[in-house]
Amino acid sequence: MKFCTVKQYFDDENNNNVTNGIATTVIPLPNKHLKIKANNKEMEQYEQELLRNVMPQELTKLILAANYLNFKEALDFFCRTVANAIQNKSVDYVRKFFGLESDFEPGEEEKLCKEFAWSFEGVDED
Amino acid sequence: MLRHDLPQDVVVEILSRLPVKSLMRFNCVHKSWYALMRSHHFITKHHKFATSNNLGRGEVSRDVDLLSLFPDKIDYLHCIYGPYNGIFFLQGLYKMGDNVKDLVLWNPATRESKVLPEIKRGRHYGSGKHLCFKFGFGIDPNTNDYKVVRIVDFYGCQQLQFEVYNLSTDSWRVIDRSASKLYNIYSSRFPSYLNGFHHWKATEISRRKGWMFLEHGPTRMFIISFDMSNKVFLEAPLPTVPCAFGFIGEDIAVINDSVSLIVGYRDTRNPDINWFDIWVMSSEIGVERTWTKKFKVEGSGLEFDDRLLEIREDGLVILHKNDGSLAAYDRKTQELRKFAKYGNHFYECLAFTYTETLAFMNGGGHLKKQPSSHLCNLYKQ
Repeated sequence: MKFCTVKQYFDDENNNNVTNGIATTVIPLPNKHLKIKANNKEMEQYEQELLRNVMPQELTKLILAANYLNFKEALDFFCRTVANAIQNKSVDYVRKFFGLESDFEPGEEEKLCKEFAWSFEGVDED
Repeated sequence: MLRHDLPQDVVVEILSRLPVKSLMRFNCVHKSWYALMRSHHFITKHHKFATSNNLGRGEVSRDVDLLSLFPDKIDYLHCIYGPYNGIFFLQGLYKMGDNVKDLVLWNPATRESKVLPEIKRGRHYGSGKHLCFKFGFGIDPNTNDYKVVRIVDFYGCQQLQFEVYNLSTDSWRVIDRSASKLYNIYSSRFPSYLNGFHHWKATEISRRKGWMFLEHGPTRMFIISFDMSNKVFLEAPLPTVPCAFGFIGEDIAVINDSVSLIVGYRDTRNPDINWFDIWVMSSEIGVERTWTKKFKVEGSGLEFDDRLLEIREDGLVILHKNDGSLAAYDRKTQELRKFAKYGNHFYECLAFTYTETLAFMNGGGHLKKQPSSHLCNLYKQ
């Protein structure tokens, strides 16, 4: 059931969403999940290990792979990881991270920053 | 960093896992994000993650001057209701006067508060009538709208009058129906809202010509349940509880997702011995309500005015003791263990289980133009 899209992937030779390197990381996950599903702590440790060796740029490819394979647990895990990584970052950092540029009028952004000034406390330096 | 090719639904998946403080800051990132955070779909999705996420997150506790949430200078905070879906309802009081600008909805996560509009006095409350107000707070599960209920209690001179405030319309409405008997309603001492119904304890008043008094003999207590979406009333008698040997009082409380009756006792011969009987109401809809005595919580160290917060499956009962400490009582070993202390009395502080919400109460933002974004359009309901 988890692997129906994987067959499609192997059949589709010009697939840009999932490269071979990523496939070796994402695809073994279901087996591991099934084996240690009962033990949350072990799963957490395994997931931390996995990500220690992954560069931030790779993370986006992992997310795309998990999304394409419709692999919900991996997608949840990767999204949580990204959320944890960015939760204390500045507005500029997050814009760069998602490739966005501000589309606010000049005065508007300032107004918002003032209104939510308390949420800027304790933010990581860029 | 990331290339700009993450699908929008994946970006939403990431954002819905962030704490509210981060999201409030990220309002400034892009107009589409500002709009997304005000969409009903996103707020619900975010709250679901916040509820299921057991890890403690969010900022370290901070001091909030609750009195500053009220527009006029009130003298003291009378009651706190909730939280439900992350919002509290606060009632302030003035020592003098009858100013009704004393009701506030508060979202501690977004730091937003909303003052409820004044209730227009109806022709029912002419001057000289004795009356008092009781409140309830909850959510209409069909619309996810926050609702405040105000009951005008005329001490048995006439039927209770119910008024309901909806956050979505920011207005009050008098309900033309009422409970069938003449009642005197009690304030809820414990959280009393569950699954669309708010519950109150009430006594039936027997009214004779010109006088009103309680029925002779043991007082018959009732539970009045108000369905917040359909505005119907269900009235049922409370179980007759044993009154011998130190019955102190009973309170309706929602504990462990059930409507319960907490009956407190103190041994008249030995005041150090206190215990609670917990009765649970059947929850099937359409079936006549029955009450079953489910637990007895007894042991040294318990006092009849301790507030029960939670009864866990592992046998622990979490209490807020009358000396201000939080304690865990083990039903198996009958041991009481205090684990935290705030203030010197539970009147000084209240303990709640709280989950953040992104819900905005004052509606709309400052932006004049419509946000032009695919993210916003995807999530319009």
